[in-house]
Amino acid sequence: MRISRSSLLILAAFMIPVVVEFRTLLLMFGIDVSIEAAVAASVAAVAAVTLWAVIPARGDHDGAETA
Amino acid sequence: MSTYVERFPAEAKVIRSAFYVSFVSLAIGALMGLLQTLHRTGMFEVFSEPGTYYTVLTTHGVFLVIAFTIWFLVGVFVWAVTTSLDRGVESLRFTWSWYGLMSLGTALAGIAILAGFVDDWPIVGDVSADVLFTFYAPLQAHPMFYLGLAIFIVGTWVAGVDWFRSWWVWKQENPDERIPLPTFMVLTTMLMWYIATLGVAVAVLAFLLPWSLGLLETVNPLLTRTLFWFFGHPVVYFWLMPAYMMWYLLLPKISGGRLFSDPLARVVFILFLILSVPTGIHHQYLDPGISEGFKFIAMTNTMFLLLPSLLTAFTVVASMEHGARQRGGEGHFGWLKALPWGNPAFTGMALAGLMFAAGGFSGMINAGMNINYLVHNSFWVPGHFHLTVGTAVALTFMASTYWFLPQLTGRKLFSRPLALVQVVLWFVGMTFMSNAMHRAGLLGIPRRTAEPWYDGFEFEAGVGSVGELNAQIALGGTLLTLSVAIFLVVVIGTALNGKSSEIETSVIPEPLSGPEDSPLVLDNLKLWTVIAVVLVVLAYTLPLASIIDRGGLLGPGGRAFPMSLDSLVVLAQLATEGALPR
Ligand code: HEM
Ligand SMILES: [Cu+2]
Repeated sequence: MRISRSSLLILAAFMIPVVVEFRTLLLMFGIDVSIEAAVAASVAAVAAVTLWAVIPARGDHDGAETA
Repeated sequence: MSTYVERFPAEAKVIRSAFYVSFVSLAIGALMGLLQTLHRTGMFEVFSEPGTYYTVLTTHGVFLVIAFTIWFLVGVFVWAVTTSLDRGVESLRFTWSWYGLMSLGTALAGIAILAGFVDDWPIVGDVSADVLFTFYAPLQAHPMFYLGLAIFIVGTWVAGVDWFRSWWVWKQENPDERIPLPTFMVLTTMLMWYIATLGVAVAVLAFLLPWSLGLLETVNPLLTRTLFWFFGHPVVYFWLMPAYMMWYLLLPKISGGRLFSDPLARVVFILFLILSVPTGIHHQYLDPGISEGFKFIAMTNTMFLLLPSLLTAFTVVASMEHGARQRGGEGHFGWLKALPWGNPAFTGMALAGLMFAAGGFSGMINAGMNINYLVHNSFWVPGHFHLTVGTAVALTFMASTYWFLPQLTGRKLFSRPLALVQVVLWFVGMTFMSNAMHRAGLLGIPRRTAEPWYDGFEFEAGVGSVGELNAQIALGGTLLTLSVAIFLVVVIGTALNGKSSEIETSVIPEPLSGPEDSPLVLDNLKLWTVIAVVLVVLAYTLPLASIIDRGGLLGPGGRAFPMSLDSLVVLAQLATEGALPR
């Protein structure tokens, strides 16, 4: 893991308000994102961060973490 | 070094007992919160009779902001005074006596409220107190409610005497020492509380209680409102100052550092003592019968109150940064990574502080006289105070419980990961609920309404839809309730956990800039109290005089709304038919 599990949890929590209100922000510019798309985008964003956190950084060849 | 319970076993028991009452109140209040959320967003029809909503809302408000908060903070104050003076309470019997008074008061007021869920009791008949946590006229409760409230407040006064007494005896033995910071915080908070509660004492004892007993025919509603808000604004600092105290004392310690500045902390608490009370009229910007000039003075004082909060933000973040750098953190922002995010006490308090910043911003909007008209009594307002009292205070109290419980029981915290999930869940749930409440308020959706939908009229969202705001509120409320449930599991699990010898010491490290850097005048409590009283006299004499002059002490007359509900329905019908000015 690149960051600890608790850091990952908190990072994911911080992304929620950003994603929720990003949709509102886009709407103000007339870009209409459907709720389904917004939910999908937020799931994707959290998944991406989780993946980034779980895949070991280059040079981190400590097999115990990746097993 | 030792834990608190080893050093002060008898006091630890008092604190635990206070905390447990607090947590039971939290559980009851949170359950009501869930019911409200689901009903008023139209997710579930929880109440077949919408009137029940007001019994639920009163239970929610009173159990959370009077019982949960105040029971918790008296426990914290016992801890603060005894550890910082390093002496037990002067007389345990005296301490238990205020505990008893507060319990009696809680029981009487609580029973009066909960009795409202049943329409007709054998022998006593109709008992209810659906007056909301603001309990001013013309809403009228059963006398038992006011009596309980009065006894509860007297209990807190006696508790204050207990802490002043400890300090006094300590001072005789240590004449040349500065008041230790935690005790200083307790004493300034209590001085503020004594001034603030005068308003509610007069309102309850002189008007509301005799009125509900039938001794007075009528009361002056504007007068009881004004007296309520005389107390109703400073009470928020009674909740907040203990939360600040946790941020000043525990956050730096848990971050691995020391408080940045003792003098700044003292200045902040003095500013709260001085400025908390002469601001209450900012809740009455829309009350007819108080002239604009007085409202303007209240607004000015309110804006000054931002200062201590900004000072706190600076000091607390500086202390955390110091701690993070002690732990090896580097860079402009890189130090953030070195903070102990895995520690639920730390993470909970840090998230609470962050949400408080958001609450502060929406609070500034409430405080502005003209812009207040836009959001007054709308759903925006609960959106605001669920960030302040509902998170900055409530989440700080829950998070600090994770530090306190092992200190008070000698037992290990039950499941740190679960506790971490709990505080993060609160943050997520509150983000959804409060953000959507703010936005719903901007559309004009009212607060304190069971079913905010009307024939032939629809609220229109500029962006998004009302339906999705409701969904966010319901989702947020559900996550919050889940979070409270997890909190209770951790508390009960800890109480049943085995004894542990690895609990850290309860000693609070010395500040970087200590009391020796504080000007002596800061400890002159008499001076600050006098200034506080003078400001209150200046802010309130003329408005109160003009209210009494116009309406009379006992009001221009008019009908009470005993237990309120039927008459409220009539009133609502009149209003929708346009018979009343809106
Ligand atoms: C489980 C978490 C919670 C939920 C779901 C929740 C939900 C709500 C809702 C929906 C309202 C607005 C009702 C209306 O105006 O019609 C409300 C009001 C209120 N809440 Fe909460 N809340 C929660 C936690 C808290 C906490 C922790 C506090 C304070 C410590 C708090 C204090 C209040 C107060 C004072 C009111 C206003 C009552 C009134 O208007 O008289 N709530 N809550
Ligand atoms: Cu206020």
